[in-house]
Amino acid sequence: MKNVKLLGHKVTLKISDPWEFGTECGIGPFKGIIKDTNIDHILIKLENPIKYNGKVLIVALCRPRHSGSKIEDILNRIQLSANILLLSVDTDSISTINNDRSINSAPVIGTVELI
Amino acid sequence: MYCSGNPIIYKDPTGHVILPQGNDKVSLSNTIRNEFPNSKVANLVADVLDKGKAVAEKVFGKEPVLPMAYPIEVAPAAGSGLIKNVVDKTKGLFNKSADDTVNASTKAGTEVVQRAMSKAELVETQKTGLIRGGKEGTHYVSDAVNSTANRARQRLAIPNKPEVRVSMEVPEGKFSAPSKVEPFDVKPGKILPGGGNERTATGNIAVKILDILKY
Repeated sequence: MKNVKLLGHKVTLKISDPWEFGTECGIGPFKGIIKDTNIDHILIKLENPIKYNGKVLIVALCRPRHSGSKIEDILNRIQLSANILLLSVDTDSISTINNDRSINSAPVIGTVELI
Repeated sequence: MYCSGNPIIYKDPTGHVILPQGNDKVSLSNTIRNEFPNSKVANLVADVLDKGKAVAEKVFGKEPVLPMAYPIEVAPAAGSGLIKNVVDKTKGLFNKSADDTVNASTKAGTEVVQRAMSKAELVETQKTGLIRGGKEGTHYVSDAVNSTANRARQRLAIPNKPEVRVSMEVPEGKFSAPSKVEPFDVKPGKILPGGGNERTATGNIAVKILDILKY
């Protein structure tokens, strides 16, 4: 189920883990725009791709990291802890990612916040 | 009574020491860790059992000869019974008040937290005396991190397999209350289940490293 209230919002990502990510790319903020949602994920298209570990990562699939948090919480100007999967695929749709193991990806932990 | 009345599960060649039958064993320490994953006391007890076993093996060889009513390891046939026994008999030991007692024994105004990390992060933490080597961003720690790398990764949904578990003394009140970690899609089609508890904080936090467990 899409949450249309979230679509089109500009957000920033800050990455904390893996610790080595910060050494290679810095912690951010990395800017992007929300392109798609489902019940517990948002898909963010990054303004500038991130180069990490030999991969060029274009979008970020984010879900709340902790029980009790909801992805809509960012609308309340909350910095939301998130499990973030950075992906090398250029897409505006979560459904194109599901279970496609051929896509290069990098899992990271960080926060998502509205600009 | 010979072998506590259970000669299928145990053996007692000397008449003084009850030993498990067979070679494949179920570990008491891992059973405790699995049954009480979020208890700091349970994880400490399991670590002590492992260290005690390592010492006993160095002194007496691989065959366990410690006299005990509840063996450190038992044969697989006894595994389910052992788990039930552990849960029944230790429930009261590994509750929140036990963890509070451990916390109270640390320096006033401080508390002990654990973080699973890479060796590179550990070096920076040691060098700076700051959590995560003073890097900006949100810091994630737990009251008790599992003592096996894969289990820690699964429970805390950590992107990479950690190399060490570090126990650190930190100022009290800096970290949030524990929250349960949700599942993490670490690859398309691959999910880490989460389920462990972690706490968060931001800003520079001074740490004193108390213990390092190499995975």
